[in-house]
Amino acid sequence: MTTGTTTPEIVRYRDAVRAALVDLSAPDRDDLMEDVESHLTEVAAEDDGSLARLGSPAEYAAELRASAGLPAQSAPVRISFWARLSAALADSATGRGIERITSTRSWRSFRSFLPELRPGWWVLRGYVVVWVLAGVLGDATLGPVPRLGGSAVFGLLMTVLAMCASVQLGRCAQTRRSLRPWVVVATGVLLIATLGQLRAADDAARHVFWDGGSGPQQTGLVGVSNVYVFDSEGRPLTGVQLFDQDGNPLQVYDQVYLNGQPPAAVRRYVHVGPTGQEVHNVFPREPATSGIPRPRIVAPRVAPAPDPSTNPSPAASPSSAPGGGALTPSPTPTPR
Amino acid sequence: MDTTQLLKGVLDLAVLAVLADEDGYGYDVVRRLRAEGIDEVGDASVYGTLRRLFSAGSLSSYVVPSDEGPHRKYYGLNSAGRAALADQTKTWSAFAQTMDHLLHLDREAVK
Repeated sequence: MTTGTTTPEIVRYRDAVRAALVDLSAPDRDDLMEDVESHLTEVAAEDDGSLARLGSPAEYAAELRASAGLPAQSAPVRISFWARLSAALADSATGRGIERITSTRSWRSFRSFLPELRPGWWVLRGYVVVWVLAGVLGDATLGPVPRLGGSAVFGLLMTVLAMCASVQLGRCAQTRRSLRPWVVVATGVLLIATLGQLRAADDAARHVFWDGGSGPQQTGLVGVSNVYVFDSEGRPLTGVQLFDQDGNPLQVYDQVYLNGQPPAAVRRYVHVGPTGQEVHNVFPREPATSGIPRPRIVAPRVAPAPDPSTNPSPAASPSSAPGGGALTPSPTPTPR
Repeated sequence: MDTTQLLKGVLDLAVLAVLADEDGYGYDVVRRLRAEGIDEVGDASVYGTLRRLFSAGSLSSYVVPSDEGPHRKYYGLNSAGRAALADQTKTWSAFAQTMDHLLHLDREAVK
C-alpha cells in the first residue's frame, strides 16, 4: 500500500475544504472531513505530491457534500474571522514554517496526546481563577490555598467549587462548540490576569525587607535604627563596634538593604576609619545633619541579663555583651 | 453522452457492489471502481457516497491504524447493505432491460 506523509500542501488543501464546508453543522462537517486527509495523502503519494487531479478544494468540497446527500453551499458563505485569519497565516512565510513543523509525525503524536491533558487543565483552571481572584481582592495567599475574604477555609471551599465548575464547563464546551470562542476569550483574560498577579507577587517578593536568614553578612535588628551602649556603671560609651555571636558586624534597621545602595540619609551614618575604609557597625551612629533629632538617652536601670553567670549584677547587662569590649575590632563571640 | 450524469444514479450500486466483494477504505474503493472501468467518477463523490451509505445504515466501518500517514477507515456491507445491494441490483436490471428494449438492443442481439 502506498502511503505518504502529510505535506504542507495537504494541510492547506484540507483546511480549504473544511472552510468550504463551514456552513454545515459541526457533526456533518466532521463526518465529511474524517477521511479527507487520508485521501489527500493517498493521492499525493500516487501523483508525486500533487493534488491537481482533485481540482480545487472548493470543487472537492462541493462534490463531497453533494454525493453525501447534504445541501449545496448556501450562497454567500460566511467565512468566520478566525478561518480567514488562519488561512492568511497559513499562506504567509511564517505559516509555511509552522506547517513544516506541524506536519511532522512527532508533532502529530504530540497533538494526539494533548487532549489527554484536558481534565488536568480544567482542574488547574478552577484553581487559578480563585488564586487570581484572591490576589485581585488583596487577600494574602498562604501557601497553596488562596485566601478569600480573609479566610483560607472559605478560599479552599471556593477553590473546590471553581474546580468543579471549570470541569463542567470543559465538558460542556466539548459537546457544544458554540461555547468554545467564549472559553478561549475567557482563558486569554485569565492568562493575562495570572501574569499580572505573578508580576505583583514578584514585586512583593523583591521588596521583602529582611528575612532574617539570608547570609552571614545580613545580621540585623529589625525596627532598630541606632544602638546606644552603656558600661556597667551606666556611663554611655561611644564609638563602639558591635558584633553578633558569629563575629558578624551588627547591623541595624536602615543599614540592611537587600539590593542596591542604602539611601543617602543612611550613608551619612557611616563611620570612616583612619585608613578611609567605611565601618558600618560603629555605635551609636551620629546623624550628620541636625535635622534628625537625637533621642534622649536614659541609662538602663534594669535590663534582663542574657547571661547572669558572667555578671552578678542584673542591672549591668551591657557589660555581658561583646560590645562591652569597646573599640575592640575582633570580638570573641559569646556563646549563647 | 456524458457518463458522469448516468453514474450519479448508479454510484451507490457500484460502491455497494465493490464492497460486497471485499471490505475497503475510501481510496481502495476509488481504485477498484477505476479498475472496473468506472473512471469518470470524482474521488470526492466516492468518499461522499461512502459517508452517505454509512449514515443510511448500509455500511459498517472500522478504523485500521496505519504506521505511515493517517488512520484508514474501512467500510463493509452489513445485512442492510446486502439487502440494499440486492434491491438495487433488481431495479437496475429491470431498468437496463427496459432501456435495452427501447433502444432495440435486445432485438438487435437476437437478429
